[in-house]
Amino acid sequence: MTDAQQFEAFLHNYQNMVFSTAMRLLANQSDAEDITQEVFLRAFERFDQLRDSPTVGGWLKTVATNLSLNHLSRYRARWSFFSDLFHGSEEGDEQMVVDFPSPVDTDEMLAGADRRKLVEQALQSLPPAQRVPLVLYHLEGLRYEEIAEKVGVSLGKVKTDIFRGREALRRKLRLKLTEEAG
Amino acid sequence: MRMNSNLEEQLAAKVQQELDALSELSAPPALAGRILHAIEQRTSPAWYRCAWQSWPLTMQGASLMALLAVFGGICYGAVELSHAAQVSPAGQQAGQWFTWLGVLWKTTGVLADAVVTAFRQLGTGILIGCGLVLFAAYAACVGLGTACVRLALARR
Repeated sequence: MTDAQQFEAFLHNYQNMVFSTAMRLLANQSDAEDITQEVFLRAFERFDQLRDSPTVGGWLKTVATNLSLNHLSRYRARWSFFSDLFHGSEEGDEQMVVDFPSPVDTDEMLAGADRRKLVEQALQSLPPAQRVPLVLYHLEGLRYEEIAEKVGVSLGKVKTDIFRGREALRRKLRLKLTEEAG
Repeated sequence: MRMNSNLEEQLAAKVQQELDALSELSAPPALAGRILHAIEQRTSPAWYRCAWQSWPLTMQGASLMALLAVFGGICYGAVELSHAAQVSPAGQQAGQWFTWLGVLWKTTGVLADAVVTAFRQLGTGILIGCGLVLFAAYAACVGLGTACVRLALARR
């Protein structure tokens, strides 16, 4: 297999993973495609080192995450503004509820691929201030401190935004929580 | 209303459960082709770094005209220098250096006149025949050269 064929196989093996990472952070397909392209251009420059590396998946994810965050940081001023605009306002989150069908019990009515699609839509409908730390915490497995460093905000803000993001998802997906007696 | 810590933990676990169930998103089918094309664009050297034969035709023509103009200018300058009054020993020396360029320019002019005369006097058939002979000679050179290179490499 020639180098070009090897790289093409490498591309097909990892493009979904890289695209997913970018898409969930950016919630914009066009931007996610641009980021994915840039990730693989960089991978191509280092292909000799990467092709046999056991950590190539982690490297690709890290680069995709960093490039996505760099892309978002250009709009950070607008992001912070909207984050503060919805501070303490639950009506703001209600306005962003996706128009899902309203079964009594979402878990029972939808399963498998439909459920995943619902969750994906709910995630992408979150504002960047909530979505990004939520994705970095729950999907990328970063700690609060790491998220704060990557995103360039305080630890307290990260925790607040993740809490708000979870709350927003709970409302959108109608997640049921068991309230224990006080 | 803020949640108590127990509910917060439940919520975190529920959200984690929902997000863990997500599978990878499928990249658009055309994305791979676009990436490979971008890589090819980036790794191919610019046209001016390639051999002259692979330049775009317009650039080949333009570079040829520029080189001919420079050559003509040098030769013309040499001719003028050689005829110019001897203003200084340095000028005289420079004139001597470029005398041969003036001779070359005159020779080129005579040859060009001869070619033009030949085209006017000879018949079309002879001109086509000469063209074919030239092409056959070029092909023979290329073939001979290729054979020699392969022979040389085969010995290794």
